[in-house]
Amino acid sequence: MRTMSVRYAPVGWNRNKIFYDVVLLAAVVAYILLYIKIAPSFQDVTRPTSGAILRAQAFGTCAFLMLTFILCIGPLARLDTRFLPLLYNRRHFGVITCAVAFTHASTIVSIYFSFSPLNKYVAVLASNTSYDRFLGFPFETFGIFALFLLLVLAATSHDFWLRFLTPPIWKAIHISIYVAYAAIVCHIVLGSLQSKQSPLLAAVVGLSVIAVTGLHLIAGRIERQKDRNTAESASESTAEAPWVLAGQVDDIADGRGIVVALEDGERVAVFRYGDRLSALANVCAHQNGPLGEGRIVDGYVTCPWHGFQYRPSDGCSPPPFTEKAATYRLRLDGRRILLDPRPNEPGTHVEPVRVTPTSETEA
Amino acid sequence: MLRRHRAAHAYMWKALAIFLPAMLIAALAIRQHGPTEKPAVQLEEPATGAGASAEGTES
Repeated sequence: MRTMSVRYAPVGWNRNKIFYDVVLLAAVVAYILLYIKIAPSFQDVTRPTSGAILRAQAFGTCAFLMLTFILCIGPLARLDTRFLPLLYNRRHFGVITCAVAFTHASTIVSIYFSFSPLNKYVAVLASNTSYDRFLGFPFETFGIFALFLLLVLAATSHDFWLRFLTPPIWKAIHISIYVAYAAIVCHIVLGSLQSKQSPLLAAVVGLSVIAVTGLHLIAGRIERQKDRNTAESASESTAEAPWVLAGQVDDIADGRGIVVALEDGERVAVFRYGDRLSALANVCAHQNGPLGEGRIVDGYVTCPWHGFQYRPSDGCSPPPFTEKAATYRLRLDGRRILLDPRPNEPGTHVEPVRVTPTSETEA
Repeated sequence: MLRRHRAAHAYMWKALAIFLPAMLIAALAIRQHGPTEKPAVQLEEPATGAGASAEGTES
């Protein structure tokens, strides 16, 4: 389950990743071949499209659809845990998307700029400089910008860069995937959608925008509502400040956790394992995955995204790994779990709370 | 996810939810239709009389 690596390795392959990548590559090849086969039957017979342009269109639309899918995986996994396996290898998906987009760009440059008196790469930027217009705006610029971002993200996608840059910086860089998506939408609506009348392409772009933005807004709204509910019940709390109510012991299944939202917006994961309870920050040190939605595997809290693990009592990853999560103090008031919302330094040992069996269990 | 990252995500997607549809609608609404987009029109056959006269000239 664990995927952490001690030494640098180009790709930490395992069976799941190989299967994921094989299926993905097969889908990409099938899409490209189908597009090249089927698209000519929809074109205007008086203005046939050349094979090279068809290939460029196939790679371009494929990259756009792949990016749409990638951006939908995150909110889908938040809304339904059945989508979590897609999230597991999302970075490979992103790297393949970058390769497909790069092929699209190379094909376009070869078709339209090979015979320019200028260097073909200079010609891409110099052929249209109408930056002061909306219609006729050099849409290529958006495509180049998006490709540059995709290349940066693909190049820094490995865990080596995550450790080297530190998770907050890495995460901040990788949020630019949203900017890349916006740039690609601009690239299409000011490019292909202007140069040819294609209701199908307009519909695909429209549906993509609705799906990507809609899913993110819905997932965000549901999470905010959940946070508000748990924060309200936590603030009902006890008279003994700063302790807040985290939930009931019997609400947590063995080997599982619950997520408690605090008033300041941070989240804490409370885990039950056997007759013990421990609390950790809900944020995985790897990619900010939601630890509270994971489970206990081999005695360790295991992140549902990529399998990073933490000891529940002190938030430390098992040796030789060095990741740490902040811990929180817990205590019991009958069957109620009370949480001290002040985090301890990551890696601080907190004695797990012992749970007595319920009277039903005893009976 | 850290609170500040969640907040950044939320702001970004709210902005994109306004910007992207607006961009798409605006670009489609003010799109210019070029003469090459008109459907192909089959040319009329030459008039019978003109064809006959041409034939007559040739002979």
